Amino acid sequence: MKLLILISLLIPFNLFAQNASIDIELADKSIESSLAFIEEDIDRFRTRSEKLHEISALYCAGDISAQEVREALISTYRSWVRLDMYQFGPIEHLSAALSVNFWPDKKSFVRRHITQFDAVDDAQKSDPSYVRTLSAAVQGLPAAIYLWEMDKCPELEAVSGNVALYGQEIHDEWFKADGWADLMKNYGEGNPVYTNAKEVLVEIYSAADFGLQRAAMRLEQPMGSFHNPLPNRAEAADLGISLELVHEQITAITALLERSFNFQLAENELDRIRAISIATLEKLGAITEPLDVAVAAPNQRIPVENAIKSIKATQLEFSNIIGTQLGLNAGFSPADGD
Amino acid sequence: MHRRHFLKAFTAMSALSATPTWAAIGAPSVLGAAKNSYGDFVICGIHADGNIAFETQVPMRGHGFAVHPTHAIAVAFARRPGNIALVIDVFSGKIRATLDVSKDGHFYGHGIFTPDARYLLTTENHLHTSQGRVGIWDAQNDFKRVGERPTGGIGPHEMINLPMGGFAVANGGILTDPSSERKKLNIQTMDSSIAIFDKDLNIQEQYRLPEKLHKLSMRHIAAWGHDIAIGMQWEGNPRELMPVIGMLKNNQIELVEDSRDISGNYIGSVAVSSDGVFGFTAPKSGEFISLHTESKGLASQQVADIGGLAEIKNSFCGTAKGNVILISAEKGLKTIKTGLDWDNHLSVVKTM
Repeated sequence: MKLLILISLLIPFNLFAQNASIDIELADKSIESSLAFIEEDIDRFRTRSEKLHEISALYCAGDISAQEVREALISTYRSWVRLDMYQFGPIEHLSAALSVNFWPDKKSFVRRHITQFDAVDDAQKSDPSYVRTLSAAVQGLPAAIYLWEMDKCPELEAVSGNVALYGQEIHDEWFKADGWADLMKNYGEGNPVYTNAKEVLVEIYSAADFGLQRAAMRLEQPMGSFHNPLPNRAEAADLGISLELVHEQITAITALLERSFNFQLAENELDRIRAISIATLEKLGAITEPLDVAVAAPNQRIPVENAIKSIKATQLEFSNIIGTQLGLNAGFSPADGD
Repeated sequence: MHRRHFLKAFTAMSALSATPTWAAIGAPSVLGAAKNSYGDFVICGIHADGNIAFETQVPMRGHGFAVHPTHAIAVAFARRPGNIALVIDVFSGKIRATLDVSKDGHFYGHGIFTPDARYLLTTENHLHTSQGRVGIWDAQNDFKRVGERPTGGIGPHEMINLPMGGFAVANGGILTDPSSERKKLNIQTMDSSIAIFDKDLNIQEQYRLPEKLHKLSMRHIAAWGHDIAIGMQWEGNPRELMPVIGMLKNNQIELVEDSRDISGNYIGSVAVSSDGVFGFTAPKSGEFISLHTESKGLASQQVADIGGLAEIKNSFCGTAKGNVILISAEKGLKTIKTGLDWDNHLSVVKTM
């Protein structure tokens, strides 16, 4: 008997948990709750990008100030970064990730390709559907920021209009009848993507995990190396919001996980998720300069490195709490793709 | 010969000469990547009877393998968009060389040795241009990179030696970038093609599907005679069922319409038997599909989770969760339990 107890103590808990079956009733609640959360965020991007388009048009007509465009750009960018983790389904099918936010722009494609506008007349320059025919580098928010800085109208209005089109299309593809949300809700036999509830939950959890990787990368890209920092790669640095975007993304990821898995996790586990997230945001807060300045200043690189480490530790902790305990790790399957 | 020349030559040969031949390690018929019950990534040799010849721990999850024709060397490619490939002595598990393209590229999970075993060829993405390229590595000189050639498209996936000489590459048309992990970034503008190369890796011909089918990604190929069988995946509306098997024959690609309802919009592997039967796996629908080159007859069999596929003794060897499956027209299916979680592909060990 003592031997049995000893053996059971030596077997890690998660070996049992990995094989745990999914409680369908709880899974359905999780899926419903996740989709409600995702809809709020997608709707936010839709309305903010619409507003950006309106503001850009007013600015190009000379009716409002550049500062108002700046505020609309920031607001839209923040709402986009919350969607960055959902790079599956509609966002993937619409190629929206690259088109809305061409970043990291390692070869300055935004600036190099913006000249594509020079070859056409003003009617086309102001046409959002024309923007869709151009390089992905000049279709989205980084291009809109550049055009705003250069005070280039009507191109700014057209690019903003294209972002708003994406906002509407992403919303429609997710939430129209028979859209992606319906696919996730109606998992099961005959569903071409999700054959069971676990696959839907894995999709949601994997999105959060991917989002954390992207959050770390948002800091890593401009870090470069000690002798060769790459401050130009700090995202949306011209708006001064590089760190704010990382903050927004981590906040969105934490909220998604809380909303999605609060039915399965114990209160102390939810507390742990919140605490880890807060600790990581504090590490971000310890970076006292804008990111592009911080990575170039030797004494500020350590806080940036600490924040990266903290995000990676968060990813691991979330994996332990949610991925392993709920048996939702991505797995190892020939249907994984390729 | 000067001493330094001798030492250089000796060092250069060491990756191969330090490795046993396939015959010396029991002449497995097929290699596959898997995860064992301890969670370790392993590379396994499989005998013609479906039993495991050996299981060797490796440091990463592999996708496809390039198999050396004489020595027990397999080059394991990290899954897309990994930028490392390992030259592994599959018997000892020792890493004989590490191929690193992280400076400006990433691998796409596949590669082959040239027929004379002199060079290893790898399908890659050039990060700065997003264009596909074939990396050329000298197998007789410690796998040093000695060149590269364009593939004529984005997202080159499987590359094969052609029976009549030269090579073929399936340009899947899908753009990925390590900064977005495995996410597909250009579905709206996908452009997939099959590129045919001469022995010097110059593109001789290139074949595409009609524009309206541009969301079909041609990724896996096998050749018999002048014919090339193509396994695809559909990146359009998942509710729309598409034929995802094609044949490049007489200078055009024909879709095999009968594959529409049975493939789950995704073909995972393609192989060909020595008598000209093409085999395909459809992991999402759990089907093994065979197509005879002459009769054009399509047949299918339910095999849940089937993924990897290779020719084995004039029939096929597949892998499904935990099992090796031998598939033959005469004997039907034979299942050998292995307790391993198999990955996407199997590679034939074709000894010279």
